[in-house]
Amino acid sequence: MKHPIISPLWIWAARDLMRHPYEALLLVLSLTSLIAIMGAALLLVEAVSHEATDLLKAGPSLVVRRISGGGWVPLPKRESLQLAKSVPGVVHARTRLWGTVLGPEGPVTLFGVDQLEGDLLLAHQLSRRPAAGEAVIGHGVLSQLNQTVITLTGQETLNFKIIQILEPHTSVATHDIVLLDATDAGKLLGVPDGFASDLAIEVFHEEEEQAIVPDLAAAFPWPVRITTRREAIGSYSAGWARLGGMTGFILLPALTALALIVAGTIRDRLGRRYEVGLLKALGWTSTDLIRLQMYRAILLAMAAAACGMLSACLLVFWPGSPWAGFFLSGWQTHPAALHINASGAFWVLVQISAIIILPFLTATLWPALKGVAADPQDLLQGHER
Amino acid sequence: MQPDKLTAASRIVRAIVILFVLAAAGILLASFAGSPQQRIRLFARSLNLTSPAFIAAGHALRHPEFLHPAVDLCFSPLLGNPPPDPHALLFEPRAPLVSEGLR
Repeated sequence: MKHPIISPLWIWAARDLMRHPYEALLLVLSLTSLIAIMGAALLLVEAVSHEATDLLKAGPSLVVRRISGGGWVPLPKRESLQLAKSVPGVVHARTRLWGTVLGPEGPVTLFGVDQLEGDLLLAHQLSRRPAAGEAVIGHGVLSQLNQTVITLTGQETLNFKIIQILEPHTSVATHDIVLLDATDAGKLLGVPDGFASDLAIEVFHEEEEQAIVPDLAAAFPWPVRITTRREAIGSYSAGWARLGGMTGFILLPALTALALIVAGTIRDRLGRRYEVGLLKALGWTSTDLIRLQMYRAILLAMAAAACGMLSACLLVFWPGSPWAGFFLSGWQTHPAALHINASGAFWVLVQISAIIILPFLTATLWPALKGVAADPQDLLQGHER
Repeated sequence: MQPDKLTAASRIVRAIVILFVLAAAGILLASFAGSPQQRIRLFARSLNLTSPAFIAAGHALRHPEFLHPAVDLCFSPLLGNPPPDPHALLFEPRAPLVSEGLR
């Protein structure tokens, strides 16, 4: 049969696969599962770490928290800002009013939005700054997003009218965040007027982050804890690396399964020496025979690689997929729906596919070479015996 | 009329090639498509966020700045608890109330 693009040998290879369709299908499914599982596990850790680092780089260089023997205590806004700005190297300093309070379906991260933050956000994300008694909530705060009132419990229990729900694709930053007017946030967190939770500081150069810490600590008349951006990234990366260590448990059985597939392929190919002998007796050249065997394996590998890569990609990068948050991050309520940037996914998946596919192709090539080197009569007689 | 086996095989080859090309192109496009990074960064900058919301609020990994520096790391929820030091559990022997010289 002539085909303008596809070589007849490819069609013969596919015809050969059709002789044992269930076996071929099972082999494709096994390889697909291996690529999908290994790809998803590695992609997830890689992508989440990358995304977290990106987000943290957009945050403040240093965070200063006032501490006492019992924990953290609010710091006076005006005085703290003056002291921080007096330290050489500090480019910008802002107070933050935030903390965790109990929402209707679990803990939420509460932020008090003052005029400055409100103006910055207003232009881009918020329809308007939340006034007293109003709240802007993240997409994961409530399961029923048609509710109009939210009850938050901190130092007091207060009800707020929901004026906006943040878009789900910003969940990486805003999944369980509630934005309130600064006065309301202070009431819930037990922070009096004129006080803030901590201080966010920007320095000019990344290298200054660590160098400025002793000066900054000495500038305040009370004990402080200063967290640098590098420490925050390190802490987060270490946490995710530990979670990613779980992938090791997934990879071990996957690699065992791969070894089983390779062994099965070699055994299967060696068991079909009669076919090779028959084709050789009919005049097929050694090259044709090797190509037929390889094309047969490549067709299976291409189908498995395509399905496996697509599955891994969809599992990790499908907008809003919650499984990773549920299994890995320990969410007890609504896990954060991931909307992760897929940059770099292609090469990770190509590498994973190569790790799975190359041993399979080698397992096909070796018996094929062994078969074509033998005498056709031996191959045919060997089958008859 | 049933199609010839070789025609079916030819269709299978074409289907596999098309599937592979589409999958590779789709993933490649997704790699370059990007994400709403700009808007997420804007939130991070506006609110001075120091952690992404991958982990639930209140978890030590979500708010590492909550950990008090004066608290020994053996109490950190991020680490396992080592066994207590037996010397720290024993009271120092008191000095005798009446010294030998006064007796």
